[in-house]
Amino acid sequence: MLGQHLAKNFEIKTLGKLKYFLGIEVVHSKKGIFISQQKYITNLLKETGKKACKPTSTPIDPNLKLGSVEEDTAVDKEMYQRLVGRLIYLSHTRPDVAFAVSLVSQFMHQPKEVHLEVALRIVQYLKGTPGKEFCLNEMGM
Amino acid sequence: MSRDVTFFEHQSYFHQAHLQGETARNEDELLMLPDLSFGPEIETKSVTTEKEPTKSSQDGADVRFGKKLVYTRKTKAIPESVHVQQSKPTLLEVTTPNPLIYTKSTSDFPNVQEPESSSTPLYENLDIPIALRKETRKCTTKPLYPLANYLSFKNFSPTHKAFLTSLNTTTTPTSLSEALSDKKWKQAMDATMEALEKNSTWNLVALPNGKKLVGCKWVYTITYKADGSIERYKARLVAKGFTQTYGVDYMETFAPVAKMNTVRMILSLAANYDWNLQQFDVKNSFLHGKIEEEIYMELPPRYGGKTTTNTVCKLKKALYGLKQSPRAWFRRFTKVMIGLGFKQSQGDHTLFIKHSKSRGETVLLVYVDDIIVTGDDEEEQQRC
Repeated sequence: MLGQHLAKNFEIKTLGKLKYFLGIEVVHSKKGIFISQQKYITNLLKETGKKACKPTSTPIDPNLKLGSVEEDTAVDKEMYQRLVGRLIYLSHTRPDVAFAVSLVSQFMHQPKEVHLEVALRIVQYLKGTPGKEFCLNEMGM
Repeated sequence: MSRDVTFFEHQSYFHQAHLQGETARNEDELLMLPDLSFGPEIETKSVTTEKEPTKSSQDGADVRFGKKLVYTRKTKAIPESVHVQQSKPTLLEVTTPNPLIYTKSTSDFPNVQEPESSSTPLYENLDIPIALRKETRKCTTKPLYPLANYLSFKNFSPTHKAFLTSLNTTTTPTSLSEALSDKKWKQAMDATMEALEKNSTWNLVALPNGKKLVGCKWVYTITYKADGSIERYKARLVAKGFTQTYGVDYMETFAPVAKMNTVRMILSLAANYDWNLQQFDVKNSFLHGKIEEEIYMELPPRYGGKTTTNTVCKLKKALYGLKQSPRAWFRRFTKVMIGLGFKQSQGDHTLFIKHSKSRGETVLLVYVDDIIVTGDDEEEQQRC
């Protein structure tokens, strides 16, 4: 009904069951709906040149104390902001990197070498687990 | 060494430099390599190896190339041969078997004055530009390593080959005149014009005095299928939105898009209530928007010929490229959704909800031209 109404007004293409929306892959199963951004991660790895890197098992060093430093060499601000921006978008389906991303996003205004290293470490972690999916299921399951 | 000095006095500076440099000699060696396939060279080569079989490979190579130098350079430049003999006097004996080299090079060796007389025509030639003086190098006319020997398409699958060739054969035109030379693009433009007319995108009017005119142009794209074959030729008419001025022919331009949180919330709802999730996509979405401002656009290139010069298009619907196109499209979409009985959410303006007591909910979210629909209203979603 709705589709017909819409088609009356606009030229519409019915794509069926939701599979891909805004860079998020959606998989339906009995256990619930799984969302992932595998393609997005692959593109991110390609862009950062980390396609062949050695994956790490954690997104961040557990004892890391990150603060704003003055002495360290500055890095390309635009590149850093772009990278962190992509990571922020990624944390929609990857809450496991959300904390690390929130850390690196605090230095968008004055990124230094140390901050970039931490950000790239997140990418390195993603390399090891690109297909991890976020599961949405019925309450209590 | 003293011989060297006397030798320089009779040579042009260029040749001296060339002779002295070891790297320059190496360069020559490379250039001479093709000659190896010719008769007399092979002979001398064999002689060399016979005479000095115990020499290290490095030395052996030097000897051979030195000889090569002597032979080929003879016809062109004598100083080269002189150099070889001077730097490696022992070579002279090795070269003797080749009569051609022997006669001239021995005369060079004892008396440095002699080569000058024998090669006078060469020095006259020096006045001629180098491009004319030097004949075409053999490696240029007959490549040693033709690319075809190392590169082949033969192992590609037929479909991939077809894709590769189509990559080279199809090009998108960048100008109208280029597109007009091809029938396919003409057809594509005709189809677009027909669609625009059917959509009643504009009225033809005479340009009122003091009104601004917005330009437009054609943009061409080829869409490919997954296997690389051409799906269709697409010609799109775009308005030159950068010529618009705020307050004159456009006002507000903001158009909302779905928030990521809303997307996740809808997915979560669908998972929790086991709702059906569906996806739509609106074709040429921006062309559906209605223009409220007064915009005059010039006639599309190629289609303006028949009418008088003062005629312009007064836009009724939006075109790609206009500043207000996204907003116009979203306004139109909202109007249609409300007409269908949906309520616009105040938390996220791209979310539309229809609640019916007897049948249930329908939730719709729009991101420019992508739409997701979910809910438990089976009837509403049927035949979607």
